[in-house]
Amino acid sequence: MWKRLLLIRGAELLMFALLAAVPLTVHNAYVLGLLTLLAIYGILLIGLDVSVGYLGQVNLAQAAFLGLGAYTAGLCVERLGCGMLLAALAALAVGVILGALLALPALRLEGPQFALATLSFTALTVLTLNELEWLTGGAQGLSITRPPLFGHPLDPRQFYWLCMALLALVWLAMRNLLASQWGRAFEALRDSPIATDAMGVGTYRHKVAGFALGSGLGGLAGALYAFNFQYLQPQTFVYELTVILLLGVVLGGRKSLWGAFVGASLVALLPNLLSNKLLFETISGLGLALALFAGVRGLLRKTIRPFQAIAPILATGLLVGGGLAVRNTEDWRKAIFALMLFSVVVGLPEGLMGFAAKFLSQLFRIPQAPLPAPSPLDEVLPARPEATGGPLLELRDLKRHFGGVKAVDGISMTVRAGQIHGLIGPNGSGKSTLVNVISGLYTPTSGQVLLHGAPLPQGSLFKTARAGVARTFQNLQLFSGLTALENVMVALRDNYRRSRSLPLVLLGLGRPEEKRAQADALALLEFVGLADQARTPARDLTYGAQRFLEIARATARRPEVLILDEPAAGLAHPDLLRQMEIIKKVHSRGVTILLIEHHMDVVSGLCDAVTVLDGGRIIAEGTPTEVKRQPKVIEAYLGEVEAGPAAPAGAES
Amino acid sequence: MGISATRTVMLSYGLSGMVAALAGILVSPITTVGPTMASALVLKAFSVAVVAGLESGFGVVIVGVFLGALESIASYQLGSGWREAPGLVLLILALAVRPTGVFGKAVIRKV
Repeated sequence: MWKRLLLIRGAELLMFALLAAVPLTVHNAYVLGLLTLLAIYGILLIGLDVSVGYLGQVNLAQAAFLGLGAYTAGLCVERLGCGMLLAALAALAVGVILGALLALPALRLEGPQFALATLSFTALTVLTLNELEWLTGGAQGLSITRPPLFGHPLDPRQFYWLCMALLALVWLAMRNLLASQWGRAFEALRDSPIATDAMGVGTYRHKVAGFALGSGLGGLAGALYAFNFQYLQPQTFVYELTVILLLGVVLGGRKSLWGAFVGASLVALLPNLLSNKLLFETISGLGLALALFAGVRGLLRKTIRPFQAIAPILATGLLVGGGLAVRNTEDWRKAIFALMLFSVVVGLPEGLMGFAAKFLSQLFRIPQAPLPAPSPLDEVLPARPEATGGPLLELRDLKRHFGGVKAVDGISMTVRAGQIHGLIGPNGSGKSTLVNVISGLYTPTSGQVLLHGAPLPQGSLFKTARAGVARTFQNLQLFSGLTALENVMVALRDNYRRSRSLPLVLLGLGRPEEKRAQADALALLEFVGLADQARTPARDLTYGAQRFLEIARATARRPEVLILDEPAAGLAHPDLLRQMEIIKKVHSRGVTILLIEHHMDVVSGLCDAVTVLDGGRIIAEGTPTEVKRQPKVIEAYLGEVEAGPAAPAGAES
Repeated sequence: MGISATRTVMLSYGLSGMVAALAGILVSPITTVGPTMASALVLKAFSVAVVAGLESGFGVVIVGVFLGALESIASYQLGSGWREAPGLVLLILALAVRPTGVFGKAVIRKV
């Protein structure tokens, strides 16, 4: 525990202490300028990493936010006579507000569309800064005198300390954020936005908040940039800078504060890198050495494919060779960026710091922080009072059509409180569509779903989850990059008050709740028998364990109704029995369950009531024994099962 | 299915290269030619394709003509510097309203 704290926190403290001490010993204006720039780019890239690393989106707008922040601060100082603090706050606010405004439409998009929207925003920003000549001075540029801070003018050394202090503050705040429910939610929604919504964590609002925060940091960095250079031109903030920033984040390592810092040093050094031949040779030589080391090591351990090892070696080799052959490296800048980006993306997909972190944690054997003891189950999943058997979930003439296909065609049924209600039917009978309509993934074409007699929200997984209906997914929707424990913790989010407020979390006040969340999540893992695998990433769990984890995560919502979409699909027999035990245990806590299933023996063994679907309509209802005798059911469903008892249950999707 | 995936992909890249070259032939008499001329056009071409919907050939033509007209009107009304502004705003908005493009098909999420 102490070793861990000492190593991780100690490294951060040491770095900031060293950086702060530099101006005391080195009296070189050029070095000081470079380090100031490093601090500014550090803040900028930490902001960019939120959207690129955590949200997993290619964000090409960060250069625009730098520019907007810089111009806001500059204009505040020049036109309104503001002090440094006020101007910086204004720039931060402009970044947050414009970031939110861009995010509202843009974050409904994914992948290339999002990249294009942000790229358009950058183009639009530069164009506007250029054309609003009466305000910004247009292409002529804007000169700024560095404003005083609380009435004291700052010399370059003091300004450098200010930038470093701000970087340290941002670093601390972001570390608090990323280690909290927010950071986990960011990662969760990148892995599976659908499941994030279904766990009552609003995907969209988290994305917008994350993007706005990152843009705000861009604005803040912009203000410092303006005070540092004291001269601004719209052409500085074009597309090319955006690409360099992106290169910085990817090269340094995504999802890592250290990575952003390493990336920032690269971005700050880049102009020098290109004009100083010796420096360029040294760095590209180091790159080649690293590529050789990583490539050979990976090949020997067989962790990477030959292409992954050879391509970066060739690319960095080309950099070294090209550097020797070409006289003026500046002319080749684009080719150089391309080669660098290529070798990193192929050779070190996790970036320099991602690689280093793995290496260092092996070297020092940094132990993980111990987990707290699990909370009592009664606190995490309080048993509901004895069920009345009254109607809990009612469907009224529910329809969902896709064009001419009537997937769900007028279904009315009642799920009674405290029961396990089975929903069965042959492939394509509309079971999955029905579940998707109830849980809010699809909007019904017509009809209603009532919970306790009140209509459930329609067409929103998030709102339905909030109303007390949780679900699992037939084709697993786990947050594959998170550990089993973290998967459950994401869904627990609503149980804690402070963790929901962004400012409180940034100040680090969410930490006590974090311990409790771990204890609570551990209790639920113990409940499904996965406590010893709490630290395993979900993607490395066995298939059966992944199915159990889906249920643990859904119960973390403390649902009134739990919808299980084919929880036994594809399970081997021992796991199947275990899964049935888990379902019984969840039920014994008073949770009403709607069970969609293919295996008839699972349904007979668990369900109090069964509804049989075929062709989007109900063909039979009753207890499992009653239903099994009905000729229609035998014809539509059981006949098929008898013909092939081992029919692949996961075939329907 | 006995169709070489690699070859089909190569063929489709070849075709798109051919169409791009054709566009190059058509555009060369009305603008200056240089190695960097593409960067301005690429953004525009990509915008048009995404706004129209990536699968819709007909849509691309319509949106392309529309964007061209819009740029001319903007540069006449607002000054030549603002030429690209309405197109860019429209691009962001169009994407937000119809992420799959104006002429693209709506995608049904499945789980």
